[in-house]
This record gives sequence, structure tokens and C-alpha cells, in this order.
Amino acid sequence: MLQQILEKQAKLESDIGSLVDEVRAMRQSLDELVNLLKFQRTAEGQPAVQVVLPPISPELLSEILRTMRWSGEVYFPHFRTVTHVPAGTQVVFHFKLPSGYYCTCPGPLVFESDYYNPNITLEVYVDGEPITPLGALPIYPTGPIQFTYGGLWFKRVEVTIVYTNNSIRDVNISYAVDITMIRDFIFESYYKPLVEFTKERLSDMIVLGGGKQL
Amino acid sequence: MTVEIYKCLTHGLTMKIDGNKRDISGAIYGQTPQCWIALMPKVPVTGKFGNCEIVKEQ
Repeated sequence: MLQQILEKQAKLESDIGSLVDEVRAMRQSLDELVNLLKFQRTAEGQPAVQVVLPPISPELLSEILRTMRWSGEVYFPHFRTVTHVPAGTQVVFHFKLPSGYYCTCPGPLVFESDYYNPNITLEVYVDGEPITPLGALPIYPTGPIQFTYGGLWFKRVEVTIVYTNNSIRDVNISYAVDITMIRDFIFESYYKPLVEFTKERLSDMIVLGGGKQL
Repeated sequence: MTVEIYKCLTHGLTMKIDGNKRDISGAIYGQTPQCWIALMPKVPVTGKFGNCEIVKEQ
């Protein structure tokens, strides 16, 4: 009789153990679900809206601004100019941004010349940081040069272009770019919160995947 | 739709405004183009701006 009671007790303990494991697993799944739904909480009585954000990029932000068409607050001019660089000289341009504006165009910048020679070089700086690889970029006789602002697409102060002509001929170098100019308050009120929201969302997903918080 | 053209007489930079389309172009000869700042606002600055003299072309 005692033997039977002991066996039943052992079986019950084993069942309770597996039940506890199941509850733990369910709790873990629930936590994961809560993490997933973290940004879908809304005020009581309002329908829940699922927000799926595409990765934020300068192109996407520019598209949003283009679509909103805030007259007078955002400009998208096409800028192209020709610069005369006499032989043996260096010409430096500081394209300073108008006060109260930021420039967010990702590029590309396109340079063309009426004479191509590797002794003619160009350098481009965004707020003092170079974006041209290995310092100066020689103008090889392979045709137009095109590159983007890369990681330095957000410009707060100025874009500087340095043309150096060490050839024996005067040259005319043209420079073309599509500009996205936004008022500073648009950056503070829209860009920044959107980028931060995306960063937090990505951070949550990374943590959920076992990584570290951004 | 009227097309407005603003031009810097010093540097030759031109801003062409055609509705929502804006286009800055021109030749620069060895000076920092201050006029590029004056040409950017919704209604470009006209008159003297630093070394630049900006006019509205008809």
C-alpha cells in the first residue's frame, strides 16, 4: 500500500515538474510576444495599428519630404556649375549652406571636364571631412567621375570642393548634383524623431534576436 | 506657369524657378560663390549680397 502511494506521489511530482516547465515556456513566449507588440500599444478604445517601417535611408527621407511638398521649407534644386581652373593653380569653393538650412541629398555628385589628365585632381569635403577616397581624386581620361556623399550625406555647414590643376592646360570642370535642402526645424521635428524611433525599433529586434541594444 | 530667373552678375550663377522645379546653373571663375546662398530662398535675395549683385531677369 505504502509502495503504491509513494509511486503515485512520484508520478504526481513528475507531472507537476513538466507542468512547471510548460508554464515557463509559455511565459517566455508571452514575453517575446509583448516585446514584439511593444510599439503597437494604443490608447484604450482605439484600434491597434501595426507599424512596419522600411529601413530609413536618406533617399526615403527625401522622398517623404518631396511628397509632402512644404513650400518654402524644402528645396530640391538641380545644381550644376562650371569652374575654370587655370594650369598650375588650385581653386577652392566653399558651398556654405544658407543659415537655418541643412542639406540631406545623398548624391551622386557628377564631375566632367573638357580635358582629362591625372595631374588634375579634385577633393570634396563635407563639414571638413573628406569624402573623396585617398585624399585627392585624379581625373583620369576615362570620362566623367561620379560618386556619392556616402555616410556623410547629412551636411550641416558646408561642402568644400578643391580643384588642383597640375597639368599644362587650363580646364573647365563641371559639377552637377541634385540638392535636398531642408529647414532646420524640419530636421528637429520630423527627421530626428523618425530616425530615433527606427533606431529603437531596430534595437528591440536586435535584443530579441539575442544581440545587444543599439 | 511663369518662369522666374534670378542671376548673379558677379559670378554668373542663375536660379531658374519653374513652378516646383528649381535649377541653379552657371560658370564660376575662381571665387567662392556667395550668391548661391542668396539664390536659395523661396524668393531669392536681389540686390547686393556680399560681393554679388543679384538681379531678377524678365
